[in-house]
Amino acid sequence: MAIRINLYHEIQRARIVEQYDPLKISLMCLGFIGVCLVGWYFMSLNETNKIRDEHSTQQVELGRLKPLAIAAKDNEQKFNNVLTLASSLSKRIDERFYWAPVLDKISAVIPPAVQITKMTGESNFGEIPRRVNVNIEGVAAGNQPRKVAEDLRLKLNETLGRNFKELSAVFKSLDDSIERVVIDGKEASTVLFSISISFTIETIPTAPAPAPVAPAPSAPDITAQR
Amino acid sequence: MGKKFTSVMGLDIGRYSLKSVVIQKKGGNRFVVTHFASHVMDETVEPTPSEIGKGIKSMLKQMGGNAKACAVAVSHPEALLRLIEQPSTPTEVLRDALKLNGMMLLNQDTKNFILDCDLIPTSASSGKIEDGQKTYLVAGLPRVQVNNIGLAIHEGGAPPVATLQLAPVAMFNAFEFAQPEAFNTSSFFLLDIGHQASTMMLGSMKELVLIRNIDFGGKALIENLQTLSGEHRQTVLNALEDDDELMIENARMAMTTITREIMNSIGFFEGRREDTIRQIWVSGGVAKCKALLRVLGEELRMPCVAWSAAERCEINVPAARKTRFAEDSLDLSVACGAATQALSE
Repeated sequence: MAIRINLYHEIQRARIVEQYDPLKISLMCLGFIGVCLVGWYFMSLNETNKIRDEHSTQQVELGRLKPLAIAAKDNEQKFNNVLTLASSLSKRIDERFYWAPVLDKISAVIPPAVQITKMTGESNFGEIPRRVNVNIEGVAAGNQPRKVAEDLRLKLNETLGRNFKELSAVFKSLDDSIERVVIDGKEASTVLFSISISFTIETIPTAPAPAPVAPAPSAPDITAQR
Repeated sequence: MGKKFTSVMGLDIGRYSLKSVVIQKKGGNRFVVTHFASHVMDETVEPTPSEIGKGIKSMLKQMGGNAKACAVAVSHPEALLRLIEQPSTPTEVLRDALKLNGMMLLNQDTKNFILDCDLIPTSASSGKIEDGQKTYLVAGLPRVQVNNIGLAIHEGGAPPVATLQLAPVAMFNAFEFAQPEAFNTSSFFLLDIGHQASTMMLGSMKELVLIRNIDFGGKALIENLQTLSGEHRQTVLNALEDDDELMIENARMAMTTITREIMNSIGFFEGRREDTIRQIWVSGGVAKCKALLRVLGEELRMPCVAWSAAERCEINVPAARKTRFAEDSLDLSVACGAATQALSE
């Protein structure tokens, strides 16, 4: 077994102590952390600069787009008004009441001895159910003109009652007239009548298909005689 | 410590010259010498760290090769080398005790010394096993000198120092490495004749028994021969090579001092041990001269054999340098001992 002598042990130990000196290691660690922090700082600075650049770019873009946006907003208001108007018009058109079928049914039940002198009608727009009022004034002639007028009211009641709900057809006035008329060569007395018809419709009616044009009934020869 | 190396540079920093050798450890406990070099220091210049560093740098340039670490062996007149007997003590504790109580344990102020110690294996014939005493080898070198050597090695560009030990310890380890049979089974006498001083180490079956330094080296021997013959150095060396009778007789006279010291040491050893020294193992520059070895053997009446630590190594130096290595190998024992010890750790 060789004799192991090492006179360099103190220097070697001092070097090891120096190499693993806690203060030195701490300083190295601190330095490392410092370098990391500086690196992190510069990275953050770089990120911040990028964000700032982007922000300034966006600001410029915003400055450019803001007048356009204001103009677009104005346009939007205008277009909205136009759209509202158009939609209300469309609605009004879509929800309009078609008088033609009503008139068709009324004209179908008018007998030859009756002459309509005035007719008015109104419909409340925008309400459901919709109430429709029709006022008919006219002259009924015959041996019993009141019966003719009453038959007309009943026919109206019957015919329109088939198609409309809550129908009421009542006389507002039924007055004898001094006028006399000639019907088919015979003289007949007359009455002036005014019938008020009212009924409701629950759904907005769609535009009816155009009905084939029926030949108009031959109008009776009613000649007013005084 | 505890780091294993595969190649180490052994560096012998002597008072006269620097010697280095690179040894690689290979599988199967094989050691291969790959590079070697020596550099003679200028005796007229004070050996400052800077000068030694320059010498090391020059030698490394001449040597080539590289190694992971450097094992250094130093010869220094102020080096401290003692055998002390102590109850069994851990070497770390004893090291601290020597540092703190140098005066009590070594009878010497060791405040300015860097000391290290190791347990010496004790043979059965020593009689110390019974009384529980252990023998420790204490080695020391002035702190300034250790620092200077570290500085010189750093300046010289050598690999980092793995171990620093004294040259006699390195030589003792080298002998164990090179001649394991003689080291383990018999008594042995190692004589390392340096330039200015010689070291004698006597051991018996692994145990180091005696270390002595005497101030007689190759320089004094040649100067004596020059004085006795009145010839120049080269003429003296040539005459010794030619076995010149007159020069042999002069050598006999010139070596009187060393032969007397050797005889005294052997007498001391044989007086304490029931064992005899039968052979002297000689290393150093003088060992290269067969005539001087013969004269020494004749004077001591026992064979003096030159040995080299490189004997057990495979030699893998460039072909052009093999002859030079054969001549210088006797000088490289200390460097080889330092390197092989570092490789064996």
